[in-house]
Amino acid sequence: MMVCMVSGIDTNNDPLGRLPEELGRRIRRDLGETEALAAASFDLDGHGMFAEGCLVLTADRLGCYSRPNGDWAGQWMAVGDLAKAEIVEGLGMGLLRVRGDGLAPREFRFTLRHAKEVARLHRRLERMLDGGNGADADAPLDESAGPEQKKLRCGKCGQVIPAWSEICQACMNRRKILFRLLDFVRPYGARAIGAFLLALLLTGVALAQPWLARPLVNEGFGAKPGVAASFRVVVLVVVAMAGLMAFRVLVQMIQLRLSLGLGTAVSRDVRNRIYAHLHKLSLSFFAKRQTGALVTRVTNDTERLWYFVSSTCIDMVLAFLTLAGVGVCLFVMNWKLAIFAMLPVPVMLGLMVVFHKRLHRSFDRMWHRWAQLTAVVGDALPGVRVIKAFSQEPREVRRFQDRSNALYDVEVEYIGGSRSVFGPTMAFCSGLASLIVWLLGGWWLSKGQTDLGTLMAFQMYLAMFLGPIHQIAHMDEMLNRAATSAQRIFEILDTEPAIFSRTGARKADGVTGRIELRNVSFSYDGVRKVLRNIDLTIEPGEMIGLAGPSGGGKTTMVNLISRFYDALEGQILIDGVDIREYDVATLRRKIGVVLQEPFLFHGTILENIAYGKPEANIEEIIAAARAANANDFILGFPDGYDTMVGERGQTLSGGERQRISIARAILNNPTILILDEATSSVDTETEQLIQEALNRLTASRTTIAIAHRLSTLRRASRLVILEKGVLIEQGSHDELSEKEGGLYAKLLRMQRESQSVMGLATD
Amino acid sequence: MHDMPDIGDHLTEFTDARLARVERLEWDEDNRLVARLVGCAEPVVDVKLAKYFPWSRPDSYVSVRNADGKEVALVRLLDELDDESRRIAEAELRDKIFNPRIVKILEFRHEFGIYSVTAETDRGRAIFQFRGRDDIRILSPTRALFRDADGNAYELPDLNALDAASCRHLVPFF
Repeated sequence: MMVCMVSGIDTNNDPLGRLPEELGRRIRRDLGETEALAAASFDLDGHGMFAEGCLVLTADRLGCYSRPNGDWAGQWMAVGDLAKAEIVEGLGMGLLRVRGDGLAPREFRFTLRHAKEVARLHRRLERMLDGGNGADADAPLDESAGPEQKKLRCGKCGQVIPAWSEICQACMNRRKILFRLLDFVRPYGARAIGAFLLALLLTGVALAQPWLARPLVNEGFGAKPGVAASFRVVVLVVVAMAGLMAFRVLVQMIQLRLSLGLGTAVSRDVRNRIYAHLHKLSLSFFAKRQTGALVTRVTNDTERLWYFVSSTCIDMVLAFLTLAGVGVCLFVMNWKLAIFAMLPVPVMLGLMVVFHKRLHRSFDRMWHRWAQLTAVVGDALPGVRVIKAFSQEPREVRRFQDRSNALYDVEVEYIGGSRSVFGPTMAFCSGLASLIVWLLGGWWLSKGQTDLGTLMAFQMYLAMFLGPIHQIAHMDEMLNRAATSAQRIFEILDTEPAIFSRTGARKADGVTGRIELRNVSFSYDGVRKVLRNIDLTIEPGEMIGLAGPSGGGKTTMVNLISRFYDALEGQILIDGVDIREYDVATLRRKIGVVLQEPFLFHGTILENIAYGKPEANIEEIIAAARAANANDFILGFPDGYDTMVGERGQTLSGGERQRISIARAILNNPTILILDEATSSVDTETEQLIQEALNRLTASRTTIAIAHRLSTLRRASRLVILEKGVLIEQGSHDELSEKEGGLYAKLLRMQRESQSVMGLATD
Repeated sequence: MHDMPDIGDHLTEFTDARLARVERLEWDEDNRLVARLVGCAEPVVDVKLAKYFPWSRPDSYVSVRNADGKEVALVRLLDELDDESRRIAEAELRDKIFNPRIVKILEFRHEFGIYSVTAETDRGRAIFQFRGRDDIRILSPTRALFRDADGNAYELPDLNALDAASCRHLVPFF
């Protein structure tokens, strides 16, 4: 599976692969046998104007290519002459500055489009300048694969991918996608073939009826010259028609059953697959996307597929078969008349295509304006308090009316321009065919070259024409919609999880909780480092308090230890083994988490406490609730432990949610505990209960607490202070608070001062 | 006495083994419930009973709390009490916890978005109203709770035990 770069094109891991062909060739020629370790384009000059250029890094040289005179030319400098390389971030751009002793500093400017490549090159260069060799044994296997990103550009053609899609609209190969759908239909092959055969049969039956009209009129009603009317023939034909109709009803019922059943089964399979796969994906996938959009994929898109497979497919097949069948019948009956009767058909098809395009465009605009209208309402009503406070009601009403009128305008255009014209025009065209048959047919009838029965049959066949043509004109749009839905589903199925267990990964069951971070660095977007070169060792049973200004990297560090993300550089070891060697599921079970905002699922309190350990027995669960000081308030509810929480259930206070969350963690009995302390305040009594519960939870467990409360910070055996991703200082509360010029001491002072201003008792 | 199931070491101190066991329950002259606890000389007067799991395990885990609301004893299974105490406990629970069980639907109307139900319950005839799916809690494919506008819960213990007519009214909610 290809890993798409976010900027530029990469079909393999060759750094030069991303560059324009001509440039790539030139560089390769200049390099000869030497390998290029990294390459990055830069596209701004010193005056902020667009320019072209690129940097290439080899094991000992850095080359800069530009084309001042039309041809690419390279300047090389030895890495040995360089002392420092840094990236300076601007707004919408950045620059890479390299300095060396005796060398004038060189600056290379780039827009955001190339930010990642430059960052990569810079990292390598930095390592080389630090004394490494450009390669890093501790680096993740594929440095270019950051956490799963929502692709901005298509990996194949470089086109930007629209926000609402995951796939490149230009590259979307409709046929391939729909064929892939066949994989889901395959298990139901018998049903599909059955439905198709029955469709064939149905078409045959439908075509037979008008054929019967001929003998009915000619012999039955005696319309043919020289033939006497025979009621017996009428009866026979009518009975035959009735028989056909009954047969048709029967066949249709079976066929519908088959095709609808097929569609339902396929969409169920797809739904289940996509949901199961979503749960295999890592946190980074969900962090970048709105869950609402994902929900739509699981529900809406699978429903569209259901509709497509069960209805549209069969309808299309039937339409084609009917058209073909009608055409054949007409030609067999009277080919001369048939040619003339079919004349309006290409005109109708053409008109349909034109109209549908226009209708689609208007419909699109209508849908968009409708969405905008809804947005205005959805925005205003929740904010009604602000609107009233600023007396902006008239303005809001006007805003709505503007959108409403805009919708009206486009609706009128849709109606006037397309809709009101479309239907009648189509009816006229098909009426034309009918008229042609009467006129020409009548002419030939008077000449004795045809008979009334044939004409009647013709008219009946023509009536069968309109429906299929309509469907075929629709076909393009239907196929597009289905293909889009299918592709959205396949995208998710094709996404590989960023975090996965290697085969033969070791189980984490026996870990004691010794955590070591060795030179760990991390970045969410691959450019800006959120953690830099962290070295930290935590012994089993220790309680570490993580503190520091916000944005310092505390949550990130905790995410890495839980292996929600993999470090960009460096290693994390648990009990001396690299975290990536462990089986993810067993590892995570050993790590308990109490979050700032405890998340409770829609279910009973009992189910929520037992969430991580569904096999727990009642005694354990009650004991865990007692330990978390939650049992008392739970019994206070009329439904006790059977109280529903979460959506549409009992609304619990923050303190109550915290304690249930703590009970959940206690029940799991994790070896390592991660505690992200809630910052919201609760009343003193509840605070004490929570504190006691936390103390019980953290006793004798390796705990990493992102601490806000002074009491927690004091209890920690060691504090680790992070600022801007760097580990500034470590030590106990007493040591650090005394430290001259220490960051922790400063933060403490600031907090005490702000509290004394508010007159609150300091801790 | 029944066996204590396995509990992790970190939890043993929080089990209710610390709590006293109920020796006997009785009424006093003022019709208050009194609990005599094993190992306690003084009886606890005016206790209240509460179910830990009123819907999932209604006959197990009954909490005995004193007048201050503090839990003083836990009855794991009503069976472990002697017959008289058990009778008293059941009477008290039935008295203080009002949960009618629907036996038959006599009348069922749906107008203006409200469902009005007249039902025969194990507590007599009841008339109640509820708003819709939001007020119904499905406990199992055949068991549900209907919470009426006043907050009372009407239990349907078994959909299949109802007669056909009553069943028809309630099936759409499952």
